[in-house]
Amino acid sequence: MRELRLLIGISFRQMLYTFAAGQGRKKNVTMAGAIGLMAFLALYISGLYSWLMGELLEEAGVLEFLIPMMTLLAVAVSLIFTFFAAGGIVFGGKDTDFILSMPVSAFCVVLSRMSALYLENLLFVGLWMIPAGAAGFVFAGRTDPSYFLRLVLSILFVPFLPSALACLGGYVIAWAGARMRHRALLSNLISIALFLALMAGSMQVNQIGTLLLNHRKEAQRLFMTWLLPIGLLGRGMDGDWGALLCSLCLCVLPFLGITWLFSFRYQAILSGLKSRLVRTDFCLKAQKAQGPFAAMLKKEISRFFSTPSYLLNAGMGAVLLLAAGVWMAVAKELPTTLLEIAGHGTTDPLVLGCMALLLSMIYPSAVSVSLEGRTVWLLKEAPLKPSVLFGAKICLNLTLAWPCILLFTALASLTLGIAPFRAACMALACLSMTGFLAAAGLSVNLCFPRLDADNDTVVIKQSASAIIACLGSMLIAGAAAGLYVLIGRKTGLEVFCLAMTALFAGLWMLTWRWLMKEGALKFEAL
Amino acid sequence: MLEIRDFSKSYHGRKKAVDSLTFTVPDGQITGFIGHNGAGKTTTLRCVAGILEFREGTIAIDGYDIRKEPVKAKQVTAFLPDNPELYDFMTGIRYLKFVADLYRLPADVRTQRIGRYADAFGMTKVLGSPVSGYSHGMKQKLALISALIRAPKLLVLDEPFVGLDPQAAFVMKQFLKEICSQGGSVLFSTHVLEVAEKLCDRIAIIRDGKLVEEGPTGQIVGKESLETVFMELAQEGGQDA
Repeated sequence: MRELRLLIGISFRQMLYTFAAGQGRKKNVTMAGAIGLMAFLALYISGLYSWLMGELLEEAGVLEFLIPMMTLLAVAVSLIFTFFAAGGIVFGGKDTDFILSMPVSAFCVVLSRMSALYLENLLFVGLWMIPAGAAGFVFAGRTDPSYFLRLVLSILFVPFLPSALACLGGYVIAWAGARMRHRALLSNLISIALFLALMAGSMQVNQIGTLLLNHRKEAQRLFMTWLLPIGLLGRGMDGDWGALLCSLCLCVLPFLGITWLFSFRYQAILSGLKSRLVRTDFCLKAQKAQGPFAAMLKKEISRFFSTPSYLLNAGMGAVLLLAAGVWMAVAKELPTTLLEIAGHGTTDPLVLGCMALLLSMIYPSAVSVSLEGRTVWLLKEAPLKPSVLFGAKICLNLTLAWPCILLFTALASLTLGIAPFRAACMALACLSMTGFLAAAGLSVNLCFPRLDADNDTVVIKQSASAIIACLGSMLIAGAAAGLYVLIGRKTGLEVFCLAMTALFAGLWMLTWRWLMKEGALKFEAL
Repeated sequence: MLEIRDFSKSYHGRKKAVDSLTFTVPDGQITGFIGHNGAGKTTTLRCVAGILEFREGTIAIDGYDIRKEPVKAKQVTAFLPDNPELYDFMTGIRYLKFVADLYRLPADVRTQRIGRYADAFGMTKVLGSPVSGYSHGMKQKLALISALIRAPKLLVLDEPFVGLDPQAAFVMKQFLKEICSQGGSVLFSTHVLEVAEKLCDRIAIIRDGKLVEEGPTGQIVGKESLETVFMELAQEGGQDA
């Protein structure tokens, strides 16, 4: 038991450490800041969805589905977040060899790894379920204080469900990955499928009331069969302690069962996963040559597409912009109708605003230095000028953003009838903005590097530079929108766009100059 | 080829890891850099390779100051760390091509050199596999091939024999001698004193960041063995402390 406590303690500290950057006091501040920010965002999003869902379900007269639906969402989103982390946490920890050499049972080791997964899910589910529980309390007009005790129990036990499922998924991915040559392709495809499912699901939220009203019995049956733990939890939250107890058992028992099953053959599984796939049939042919810049850019692009979490987080804006463009072209009338609701004359600025917001979600340069990690010596040793090194990293952002901007603007122009000159001005402003954001992101990363992260996901999702760059970019896009409301409406959209193009180009140039001087020194000091 | 003058390096303003180090690595010679753990060997080698920044002293490679003209100095240098971390997402051949591109090697030259060195280290057949599947020794060999294909004037190696099989170690020694026979120089750190004694033309011994002996191997070793000399110097250091 003591060993288990120690191992769980290590897992917990490792999880907290993923949020930290820097050393000493700075480390504690960044850790608290990152957790606080994440907590605020999760509470805000969950609060928004809980109240929206509460209103919709109350209107449809199916309020009994509020807690089950929110729990289902919590489990689904939590599962998506930890699906890929699970393989690394349970089957790929860097300290696995060390821990396994200790006199500790395999069950303890697997349970401690699964506990790390549980803690991550607990954080998310907890932050998600608190506003959901509050919404359930308010909308159902409850006065029973024991409701909150039941809520606390739910928060503690529900995370066992996504943890168990993520562990199974993580094992399948790790197993398939160890046997496939193009493991990144597999991971990318699964990630995109999960992401599209989430997007499709979230787009149905406003119809959820009608859907549940029309298919009430089917939904009830679903919650009492395939989704039994969640269905029972719903009943338990309504005051049925027996149902709640059954639900909690159904959450924790699969978790313990999977832990036991994996611990039974843990060493054999790890040995199987670690077996290397090295082909011995390579035949050297004549090689082609290219310059350092092309080589660096190619390397950055390969890195981007070979890491699913990199592609789907730092490149999310490009994926969404493309999806939005295609959606506009396919569902021609719906976007026009939606934009018309906003009012006459606001269509084009709204399109520009949406485009700017999505572009602010493209931030590979803000994590690209951190992602060099322990391989940073390769670049520091190479005879590379700062312009080549930083230029290639910025160019990755532009390679992702610029074609999407041009395609989206062309499709928007055709579908919504935006005048060609206006569309060109809008595109120019966005091209210029992404150039500046790419350079600014790289600067932020040089100021807040994280070269010692345990895995890429930590750098991409939780590092200080990723958070600052992502939120900072959104603020810049928001400030530009505010500027349009204040000035742009008087000058006209074209003039405003051209002015913004000049402004962002100027800022881009200034940031580039900083990179060439201070940035180069900061890179040297890494 | 390499001139280190009054070079000092301290981390975060604490005690100096290297203190007023001065020595040269002449053209056409192999220099062994010896010292106990934490003596400052890796710090010195990483500063020579331009990986670590430093404020005191100068390091010049082929006449180029590593701080003032880093690109020119690095163009003629190759560095091999003790535990080379390479890009896991690349295949072996992709990694070699990447390095060749950074050093602007012409297509025919790189093909010929990759073929030669990969064959010598028995790596040609696995170059199509991802680096993530390589063992430690294979990564070490790949990093060594990437250093050799540049035909560097100065080759800097940190503990190059760790992780290499006997055959690869033998091949590597031949290539080190070849570099020197063509006018280049080699500086490497090692704890294997027998290898240093047999292979090196010169020896530099560092203790607590300070150079305590430097010169031709025969002159330093004299009638004793390098191990005896090293142990005597270590004991002197212990008495001084």
